[in-house]
Amino acid sequence: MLPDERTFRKHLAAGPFQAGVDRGDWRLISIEWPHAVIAVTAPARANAPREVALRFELSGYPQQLPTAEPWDARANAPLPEALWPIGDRVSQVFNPGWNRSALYIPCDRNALAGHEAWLTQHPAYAWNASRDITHYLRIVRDVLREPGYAGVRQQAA
Amino acid sequence: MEIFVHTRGKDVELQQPEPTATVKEFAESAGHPDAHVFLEGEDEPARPDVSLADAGIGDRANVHIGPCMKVTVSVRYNQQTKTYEVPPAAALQSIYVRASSQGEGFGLSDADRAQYTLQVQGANEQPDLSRHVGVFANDDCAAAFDLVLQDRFQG
Repeated sequence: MLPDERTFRKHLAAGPFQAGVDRGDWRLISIEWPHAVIAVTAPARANAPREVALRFELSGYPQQLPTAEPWDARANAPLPEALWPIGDRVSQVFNPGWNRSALYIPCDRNALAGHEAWLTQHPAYAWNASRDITHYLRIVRDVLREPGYAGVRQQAA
Repeated sequence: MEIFVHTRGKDVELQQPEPTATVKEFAESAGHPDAHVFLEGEDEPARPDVSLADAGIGDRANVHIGPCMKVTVSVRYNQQTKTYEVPPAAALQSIYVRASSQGEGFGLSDADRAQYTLQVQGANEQPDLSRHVGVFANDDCAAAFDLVLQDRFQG
């Protein structure tokens, strides 16, 4: 097992991730290194699932930033656009028109490229090697908890 | 057995004490031999001479280990400050509820309550509200927060 996977599994077993599991904030679905699928719980909305699965790409973790795409865990495939979360700021973070393979948040590897100003504008969101995967998961959880979250695209249309 | 341990200045840790350990032995094994052990939500510390089970500390319980019996929490908003005295194992969520309430807080509207949070005074840290207030206490068992809008990045 390479150091990045070893560190990731150590973080999964540690307090911050496990406390989130116990709170019902997120759960691990699978690991096929360098990928891991983790579901983040979403508030109840009409005709929308109660969790959003993310497939992380974690090469070089934690020195390298994670990146994640919305995932259909049952089909083990990218989440169809019609099922992407939507609403207010949620639509900025989950924006298939920008990139279907990443989330638009400051700690996502693909989102940060070209948005380096985020590092100084929003240092609390920035990734560094002392972070663990819960940093990314908390940001997604908190965005989904915002009142503007409206469920998924096909129901909201 | 596994227990979530909250201590000053650190993120939550998952520790594996022996189920038969006493509260005092558990505190010692966690590196805090003279500290109090509080079960989350409890006003009084666990008795040191009883087992974890007898203290009501079950598998995957959240406890705070630290020197404070109470924490004096001040919350500042609109140039006013309100102060609450709480046990160190009180979750920040309970402080936020009180500080934003109509009764003993600043009376935020429902809409504002969804957009505000606690920020550590003198820092840009907006901690997860599941963390214990004792994590942020200083040597005088005091913790200070501002009631602020949540930091929201934009594209």
